[in-house]
Amino acid sequence: MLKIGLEIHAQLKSSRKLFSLSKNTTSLLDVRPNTTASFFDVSLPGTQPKLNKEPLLLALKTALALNCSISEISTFDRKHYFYGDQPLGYQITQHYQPIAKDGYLKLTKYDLPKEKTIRIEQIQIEQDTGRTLYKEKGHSNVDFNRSNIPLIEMVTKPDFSSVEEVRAFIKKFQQTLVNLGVCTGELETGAIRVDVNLSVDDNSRIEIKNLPTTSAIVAAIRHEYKRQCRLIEKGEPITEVETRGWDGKKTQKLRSKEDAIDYRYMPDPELPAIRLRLDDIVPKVRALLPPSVDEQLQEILQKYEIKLRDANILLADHELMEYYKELYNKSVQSGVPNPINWLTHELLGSLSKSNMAFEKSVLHVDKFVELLVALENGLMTKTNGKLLLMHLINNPQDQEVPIPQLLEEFDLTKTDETEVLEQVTDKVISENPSVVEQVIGGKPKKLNYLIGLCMRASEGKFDPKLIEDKLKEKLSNLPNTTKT
Amino acid sequence: MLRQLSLKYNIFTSIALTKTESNSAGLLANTSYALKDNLVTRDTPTTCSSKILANYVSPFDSTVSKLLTQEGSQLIGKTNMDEFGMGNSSLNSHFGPTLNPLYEQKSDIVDLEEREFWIGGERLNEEITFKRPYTDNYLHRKYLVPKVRSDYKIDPQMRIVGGSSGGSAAAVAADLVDYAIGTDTGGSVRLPSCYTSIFGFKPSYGRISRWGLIPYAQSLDTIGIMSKNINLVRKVFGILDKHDSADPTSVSQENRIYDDKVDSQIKIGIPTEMSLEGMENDVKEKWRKLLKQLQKLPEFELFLISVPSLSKSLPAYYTLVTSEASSNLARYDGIRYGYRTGEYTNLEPEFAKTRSEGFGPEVKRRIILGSYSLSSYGYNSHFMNATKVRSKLIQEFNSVFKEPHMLTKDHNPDGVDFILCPTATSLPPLVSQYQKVTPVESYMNDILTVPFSLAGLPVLSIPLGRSIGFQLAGQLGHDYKVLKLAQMIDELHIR
Repeated sequence: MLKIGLEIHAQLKSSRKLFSLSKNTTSLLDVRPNTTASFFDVSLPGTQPKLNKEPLLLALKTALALNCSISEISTFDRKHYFYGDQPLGYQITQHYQPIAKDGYLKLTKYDLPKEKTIRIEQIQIEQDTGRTLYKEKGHSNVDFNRSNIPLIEMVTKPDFSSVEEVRAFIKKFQQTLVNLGVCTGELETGAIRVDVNLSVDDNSRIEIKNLPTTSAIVAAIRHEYKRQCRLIEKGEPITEVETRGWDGKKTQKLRSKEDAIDYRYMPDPELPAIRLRLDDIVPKVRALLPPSVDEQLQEILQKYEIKLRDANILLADHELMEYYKELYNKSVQSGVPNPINWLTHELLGSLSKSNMAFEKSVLHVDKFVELLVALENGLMTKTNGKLLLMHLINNPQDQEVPIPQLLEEFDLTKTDETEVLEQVTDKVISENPSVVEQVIGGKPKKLNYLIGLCMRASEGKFDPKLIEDKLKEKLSNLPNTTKT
Repeated sequence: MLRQLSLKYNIFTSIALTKTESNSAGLLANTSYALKDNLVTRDTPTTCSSKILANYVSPFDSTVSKLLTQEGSQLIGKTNMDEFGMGNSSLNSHFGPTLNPLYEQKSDIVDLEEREFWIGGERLNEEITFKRPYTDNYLHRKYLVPKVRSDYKIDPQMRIVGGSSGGSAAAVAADLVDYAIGTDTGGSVRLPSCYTSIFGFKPSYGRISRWGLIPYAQSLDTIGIMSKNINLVRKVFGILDKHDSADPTSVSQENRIYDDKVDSQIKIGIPTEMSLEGMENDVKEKWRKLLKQLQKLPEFELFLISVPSLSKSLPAYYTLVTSEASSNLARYDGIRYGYRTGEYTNLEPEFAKTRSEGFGPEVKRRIILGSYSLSSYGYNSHFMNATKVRSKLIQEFNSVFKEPHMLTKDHNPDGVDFILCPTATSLPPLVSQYQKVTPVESYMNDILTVPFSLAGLPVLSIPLGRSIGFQLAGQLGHDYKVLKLAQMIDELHIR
């Protein structure tokens, strides 16, 4: 039986760092190294920490959204270890009295086939370290821009029993933080970092670190589970607590219990405790919370009648959501059906092919509507519509030009010149006798291949449906050579 | 004279040669002072008397030095100390020992070397360089540093100056400055003040900003004032006694007490636990004489009081300071500033070599002791127990004092106004003697000073003859009363 718990670190999107007034540039990776580090951030002698209130507020929002109980008194402790990017020689964290405890996050029908509640043990506020930039030959540089950026560490109970649950939880956690506006929610940039605690059949617990993406997390869990199952079958189950890393292919031992670090936790002798008047502050913070991810999902699923997958895409990006709502309203007014596929598949797909990120300025909503109306009115084929969409996002100046003019200019107007269609289909059929044979011989799906060839030969001028009908008509009239 | 005495007694880690403009209209115009070398300054190096910070120049000023400069006081130099404040002799310094100016020293123990550096302008964050820059937009700073002579001899009758603020005490005792700033973690202002027969004031914890003080043990570190003139001590305290938002432990404005009225009938408590068996005869005699004089005066009433936890204070203190020190000193790894070895092996990372070369033996001893107390083996048995002793001691002091505690307001309406006890149990040991005692024996010198540090109380060491002093302590926050009574005692000439 597999049992998993998660420890997730998330960078808080405050304007200033946790204990100093230097700027928090978490989400900006292109900031020059060591330009947003204050005297305290590089631990100059004689500097002192001073807690900023904004990260505290962001942590409280998160704690309430995760149904935790907030501590009336929480304190800061020092966790000691030496590392080049740890300027103080310790990290200021909340070991003994964390800011919040005993919460939960519900994985609902939107997340998993079967609902499940994951309990949260605690949430603590702590400092991020600097970033080590490894250079050649054992040489490395340290960038202290990240040093002292506020983090929350969230620890779950070992409530997960499958990879799917873990995946669903991470997604839900990311969505929740993004929805609260407390974190960018990205794993790729290190804004969210996940450590996995895992045990099989209640044997000793293994911790897996260095998991940069959700797919790495999933792969590492699967690998470690299989590895331990094999050991159990051999009669040699894990007996000792151990920390392992993930190298992209397998988990590898980093350290065992004997060489585990004694962090020598000590209450910080100069940072005052955080004392909160809960009856006053909790309702105030709660009032600041947006509707939960589930509430929002339910609302958009009902209102727009879209697929869960599309709803999740919209929910992950506030700007995209707003764009969709406007696009939807204008489309409906113009008599165009729900444009969700054109947005999440065609527009986002074209953007990703063009290596662009979504912003509402990539295509003016009105232009998008104009394009959809033209399609609806049969001015072009769907294929040509996609080509035009791609063209518009890559050539923003053409968004000023009316659609009919563009169609004219690029020769994309839909055509039904039957003569041309006859020629094209005849040519394709005569050039691909073996495929034709297969279609007739009972593999109707091969027809799509022929349709594709016709589309290409006619440069997309014909509606695929039209080609399909024509092909079927011609094939049924062919002398039956193989069936005898 | 400054140079002569510095060569013999090795008082300074750096003597400023560049005179900076001073505010002639300030409250401290025409005064000069010395600053303990664990308080950062932009115009002189800040070393904590340690190799690991030798040549370190801070890009910012401590709040204390800023306030004093604003009021027109002239900084003469940074004073020698026990490395990072760890010691009570001022013998544990990378720059060699500081000696006690009350005792004769015939030969020089150090030479003075001239050094210089440049700061790239008035703004913070500007470059600091020890090489002459190509442009002249830089501020030039010159200073003298001591270099220990290889063959130096200390006179056989020389006694220790006390520590860790030994250089600050010596600068005052030798009349090189009007007053000096020291720091007191467990007696580091009071003990050297006692040994050099000057006033040494440790205010309530949190009254003087620690921004810019390089920490030894933050929960105890307190900046103090040393002078031969008690009125000047009070004046300087009045200037430094300000809330500072940069220091998270700075007492808030509304909690500061300025009242200095002393009752017409002054109740003084003498802790039975502090009349130690081991007290030396010279000290005992002076102490008895003082008590008799006070008893004769109608305004004083003496009471024997009991503070049982006093007997456990010393081990609790050493557990807490070493724990905090082991944590605070973790940052010195040579990566961002300070000494760096540049050598490493596969067996030993570079920072480990840097630290074993950069710290002196007493500092290393305390880092090891503290690391043990914080380890998973020692945390409950050592660190937590010491914390409990400390809380109990504070409660016991609250049950003895009449005035309310500044923060908790706890007090005993029938209690005493002040506590009086000797500062040290003996005369300062001979340097030759002190060098032979074990570290633990040397820790015993702090037995009378640490309880007030653990409780954060305001306490003043008042000179009582050559190298003898007694401590006058008040309830937390009632600093001006302590100073007022000291002024009264000074005027009565009962010393």
